[in-house]
Amino acid sequence: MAKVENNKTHIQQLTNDQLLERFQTEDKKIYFDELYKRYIPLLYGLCLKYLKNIEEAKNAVMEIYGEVSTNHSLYIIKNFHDWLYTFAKNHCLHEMRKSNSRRFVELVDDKVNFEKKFTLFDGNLSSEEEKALTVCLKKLNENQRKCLEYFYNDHRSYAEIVATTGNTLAKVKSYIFTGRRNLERCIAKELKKAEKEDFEQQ
Amino acid sequence: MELKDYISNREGEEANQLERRSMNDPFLRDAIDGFDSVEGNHLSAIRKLEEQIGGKKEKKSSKPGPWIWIVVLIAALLAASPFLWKTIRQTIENAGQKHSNQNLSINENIPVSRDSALHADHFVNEKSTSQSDSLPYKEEKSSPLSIPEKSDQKKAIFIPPTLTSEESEESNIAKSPELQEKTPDTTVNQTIESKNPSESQANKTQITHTSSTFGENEFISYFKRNYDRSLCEGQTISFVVNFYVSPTGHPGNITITENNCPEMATEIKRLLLGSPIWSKTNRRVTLQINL
Repeated sequence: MAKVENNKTHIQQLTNDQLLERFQTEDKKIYFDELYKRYIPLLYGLCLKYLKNIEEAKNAVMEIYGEVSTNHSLYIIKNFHDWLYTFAKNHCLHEMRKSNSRRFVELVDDKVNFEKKFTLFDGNLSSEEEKALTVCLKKLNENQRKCLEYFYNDHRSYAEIVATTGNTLAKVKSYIFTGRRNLERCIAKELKKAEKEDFEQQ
Repeated sequence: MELKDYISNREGEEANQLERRSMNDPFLRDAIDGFDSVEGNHLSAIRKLEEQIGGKKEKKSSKPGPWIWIVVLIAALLAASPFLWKTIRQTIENAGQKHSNQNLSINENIPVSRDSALHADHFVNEKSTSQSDSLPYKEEKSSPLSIPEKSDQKKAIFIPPTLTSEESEESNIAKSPELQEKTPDTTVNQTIESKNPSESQANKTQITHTSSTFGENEFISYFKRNYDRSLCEGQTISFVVNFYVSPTGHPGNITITENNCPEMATEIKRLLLGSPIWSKTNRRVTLQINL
């Protein structure tokens, strides 16, 4: 019994990558179970977003578990996090198509610079970037500016910004996302402008 | 801050940090959107899911005693026994039906009992075989078709399968437009050869139909008249069924490719297997029926 407990603790101390590697090499379900358990909140939330139903989301999580644990050898998994996200999303979309239900899924413009980390409010900006930031913040829509400042400068959460501004959660998220996008585009333009002016002066 | 903690506490700098992380992580972003869009006790749901994953492990490790398997087996047999009994009965009835098709005397008219509602309409004309002793149906007194050993009738009577128990045989006969007394020289549609090659030519049986053809359209009408309306009541029923009509005119190899009423599957097979003999044989048929 003590041995079992020790094994359990040992497995819980492994990182996600270590668990995946051991599962793929030793083919022991105990490693996959531990890894999958860590992803349950993410998977469940993702399935909730697409399926809009708690029971369906729970079923989807278990179906994904069954599919991946039995057929893992069919898949080449390099980055488990990204792979599982794509796999789970496709599963949910397939379920939606099967049930012929038309559910509206809020589309966020993923092409907005999400790969690049948003560092404009980190404080590590050059003088030109700071200048451009000040100019562009003034050009922003007031709601977008306020939400960005609350979120990045004041470190308030979405729920707190909702309480402060009186806007809905969806609007707060939208203001932050579009505000970021507009700010980045504006700053890029301003920096190009400044470069051109410097070049012309020379 | 973990996502599980965020679900119950959306305020504070830690919540803000998680939300900022989600800006660069679409998986986390979609998960947060999911928790925001659906109300409910998500922590409890997550806990149950974790237990299920953990529970799968525990179930495997425990070894139940052998007596549990005996109990499970007995319970399974008891649960399956009505279905098994039904299957055995149907098999016997089908075997009896096939047997009677192949070896019936052509001279005898065989009225089909009301109980054989699912059976195809088989009857023979009055031409007899000389070897009446070889007719096996004579020995099968308990045949589900209730075929009498001897019949003095000279004319064939076509009795359609009964639809409900409420319909009397007489009303059936009265209602059916196809029912009529036949003379021997009316239509002869099929000749079924005996499977036993040692039997003589005289043993070839002939089955006649009073109806001219039975095909797709006739089956659709037959289906619509006879299907159990309590199944998927109030719902538009639509299905596509694929089957093979054997050389003897019996449907088989039934596959239901589309069906919006799962309870109807057994009913479709029942009516196909019990349908009258099909005129065009030895072919694959695909039917779409919308009710």
